[in-house]
Amino acid sequence: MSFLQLDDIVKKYPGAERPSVADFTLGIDQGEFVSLLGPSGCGKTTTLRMIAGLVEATSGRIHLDGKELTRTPVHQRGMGLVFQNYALFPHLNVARNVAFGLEMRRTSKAEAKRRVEEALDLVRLGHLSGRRIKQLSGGQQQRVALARALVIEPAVLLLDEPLSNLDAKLRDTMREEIRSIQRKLGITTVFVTHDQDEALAVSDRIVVMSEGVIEQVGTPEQIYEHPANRFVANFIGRANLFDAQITHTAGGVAELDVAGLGQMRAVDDQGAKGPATVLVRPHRMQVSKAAADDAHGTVETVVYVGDSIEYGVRVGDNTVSVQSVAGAAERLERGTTVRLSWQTEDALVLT
Amino acid sequence: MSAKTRSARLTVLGLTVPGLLGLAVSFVLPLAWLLRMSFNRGDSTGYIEETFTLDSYAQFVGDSYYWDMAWETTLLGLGVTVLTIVVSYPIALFLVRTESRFKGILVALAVAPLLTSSVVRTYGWLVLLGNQGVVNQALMGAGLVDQPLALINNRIGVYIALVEIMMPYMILCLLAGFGRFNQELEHAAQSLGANRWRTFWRIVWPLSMPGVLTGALLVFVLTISSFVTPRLVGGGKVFYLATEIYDQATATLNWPFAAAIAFILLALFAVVIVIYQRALRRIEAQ
Amino acid sequence: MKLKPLAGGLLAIALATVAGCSGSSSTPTNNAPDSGTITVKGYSGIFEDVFKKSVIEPFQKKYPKIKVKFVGSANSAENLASLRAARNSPDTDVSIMDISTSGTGNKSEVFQPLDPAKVPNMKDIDPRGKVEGNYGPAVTFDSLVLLYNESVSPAPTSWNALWDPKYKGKVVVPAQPDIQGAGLMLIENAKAGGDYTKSVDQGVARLKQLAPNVQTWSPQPDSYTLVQSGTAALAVGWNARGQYYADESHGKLKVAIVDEQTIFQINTINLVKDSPSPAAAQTFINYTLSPESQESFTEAMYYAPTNTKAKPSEKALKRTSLDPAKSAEILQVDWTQVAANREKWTQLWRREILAS
Repeated sequence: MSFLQLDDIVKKYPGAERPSVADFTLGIDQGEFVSLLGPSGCGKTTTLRMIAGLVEATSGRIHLDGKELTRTPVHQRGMGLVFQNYALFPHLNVARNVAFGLEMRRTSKAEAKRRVEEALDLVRLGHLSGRRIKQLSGGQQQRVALARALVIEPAVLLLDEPLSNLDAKLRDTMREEIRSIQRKLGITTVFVTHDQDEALAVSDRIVVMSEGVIEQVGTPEQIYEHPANRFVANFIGRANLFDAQITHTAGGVAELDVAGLGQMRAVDDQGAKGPATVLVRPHRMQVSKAAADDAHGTVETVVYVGDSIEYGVRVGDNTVSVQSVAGAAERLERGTTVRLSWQTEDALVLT
Repeated sequence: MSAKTRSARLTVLGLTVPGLLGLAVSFVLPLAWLLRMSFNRGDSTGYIEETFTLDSYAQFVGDSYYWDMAWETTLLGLGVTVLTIVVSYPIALFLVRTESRFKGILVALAVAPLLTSSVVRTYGWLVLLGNQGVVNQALMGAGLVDQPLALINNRIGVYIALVEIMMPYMILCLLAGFGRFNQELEHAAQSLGANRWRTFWRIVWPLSMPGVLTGALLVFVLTISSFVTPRLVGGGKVFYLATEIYDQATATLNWPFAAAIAFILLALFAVVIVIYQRALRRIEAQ
Repeated sequence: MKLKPLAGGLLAIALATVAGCSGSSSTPTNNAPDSGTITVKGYSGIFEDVFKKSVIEPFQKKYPKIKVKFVGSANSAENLASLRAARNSPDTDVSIMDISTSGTGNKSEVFQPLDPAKVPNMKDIDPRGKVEGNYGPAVTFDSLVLLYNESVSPAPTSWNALWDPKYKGKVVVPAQPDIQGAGLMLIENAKAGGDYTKSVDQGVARLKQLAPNVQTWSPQPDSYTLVQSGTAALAVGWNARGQYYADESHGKLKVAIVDEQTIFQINTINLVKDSPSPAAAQTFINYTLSPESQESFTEAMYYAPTNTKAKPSEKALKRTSLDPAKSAEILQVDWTQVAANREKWTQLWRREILAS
């Protein structure tokens, strides 16, 4: 049993047609940083709230450090929570917000003072302890919320889309900061986000969810390079998905007949047969000029984005995305007829 | 002064003048007239002698009966205010927190009594609380009492009826005052180890203070200036400043004395408003 | 001072408004005795209903060019208060109210004397209903009675019934300054040998003993309704209304004209000072004092006629305060004295009677 263990968790709201979360089983190790990733409505926040105790699970069990806490009320779970809107107490100043959890634990005044200072220093807000909440910027509020959750030395830190209300630049800084604090404290963390870049950047492991169920659990690399299915492939990073027919499989490599492209090869872990989907990331696609009678398709869009050039190539009814390193090859104009190709190890057969 | 600011000033003036005029005609002038009246000499036949005397004020100040009346009035204001908060708060809190799709209808229902005049509602209480009213009939039917309780024609009835009449005002103020509140704050407090009770006292209650204070001010002022309900339900046994003003003005016809009491009541309002503003400033300074 | 023009303007407006308020009415006076519109202010409720039917309607038939508008008022004091408030531009011509209140109206010039030539019926008014200086005379006589619910048996014959411990919490007395309460006090005071012109202490002491029996000193909506519904068993009230409601309620409410002294209640009919139509108003007043109108109102509502020449039916007369068999029992009261003592007595009641 892992440090935080969730077994067969189900949440079904009365009157709902299908459960918000179904058969959720996951073990999280001590000190691990796990992200729950998925589009809105996938059940990730509901799962987090069941861990926190704010939502009661319909069935299933939750264990923390070997002790069951499925029915333990929120205020006895001792988890640190950071909310999407921070939920700072507007009538208390920064220091008193942070001290709140310690007051509830009846920590002595002197110790509370020391720990509040430490927590505020950790999030680099020591100089603002007397400020009122509405005098703080969004980023500062975020740090106060983090300090308030950390000061109680929670067994698990739960972050519910903590960065979504910040502007893009601040978001990158904050996520680095959260990750470095988490590493420093070694605190077990569950992080809910709908932003795949965020999840890829900070997580030890990512749980991809869709419509209440887990689609895949894995390290960022596993999730990106070896998506378990079309949903994950599409959701994580950009993807070209081709319909294909497997003609022959040998030694982990499949020979395929790809619609519009003809005979190609791809990595095949599972030894599948018959119809299949092939995933190729745009930056792994290769494109070259070809005579009209020899071409797969026509360049339809050209977008220059500094480091690279992105082409949209029309193949039959589909558009294939290709990302080329700028300057590495001849720049293609719109209307150019082209051939598409890839290295066998850059293509993956999905079932 | 530039032309632009001058025209802006004129616009402001133009926009405020109708309101100021309305206020002058409907409020300041009658008040000035009332102040003048309070310095006339009245006698018990209702005859008014135009003069300039402080007799009416002296009559009030020099008689402990009126001090008692002022004290009873203050007590009534405080009592009704506290009771109204106690009964309205749970309703307001429920209305703020409910996720029912009938929320709008429920809020409308809670304040709907405002659509009925307080006179009608007071008569309603006379019927409900009377000896043959449903309350007494139910109590006797259940065997809890063998004689009907005296719930009207006394102070108890005045309190009950006034609290009910004031509830919609209080609920409205509380709903408006809950603006800064959102349920995530309760969740945050709970996640930090606060049980329901401490969450309420440390988070919900302080955050609702502006609404509570505004509601308290409104209810206090409306209560100590209400005369219809105390007169109808009081059975002629309870006297407050407002009923006394009404009696002096329309029964005894001693207008100078009525005017003097009116100004004393206004002074009481002023004290309460100063206290309210102090309290509000303290809360906002937090 | 940047605010000066604004303040100056407001002051000017304020002064103009004050001037406008205190200026006298610009409505032209109508001096025609048999045409125009007159406004009559009197008691609202059944008084209004019956008065309209048995006095105003016949009057209109007789004087079709005079239009009479009746405005209801809850009681005499309120009636006078509203007239006084509108003193600078009166909108009322005639006002009917209790004599103790109309005396104040006469003294404070809310009313003006009548012209005996325009109101010839004045000379036939019962001496008890005449008012000095030709001010508005009595238009109705009434008396204080005991009202009781049908459940009360046997029928009470004395005011003492109110003190019966059997009726604890079942008695209704409209308190002073209402003259029903004042009247009961005067009756009890006299019964105990007191003289109200010197002291009402004996009456107050009696009423203090009554307090535990009293359900309300301020009946809502009125004594008649509470007794009729059985909420109260006994009440003091006025004979005319009592008789009317006794009929209306088919005996649920009953009237006892007790075998003891009672007091008269006198309503006067008054001409408002600066009345818009004084001539037509006096034509109307004269009509209300005529034998025919007096008889009609007595038959309809059992107010005793004030015109000595009015001869209502024996049956109706026996139910009025002028029942020949009872009229010796009337306690003589100087209502001007009562008015002069109103505030003093009110305070006495508050402190001695109502508080207990």
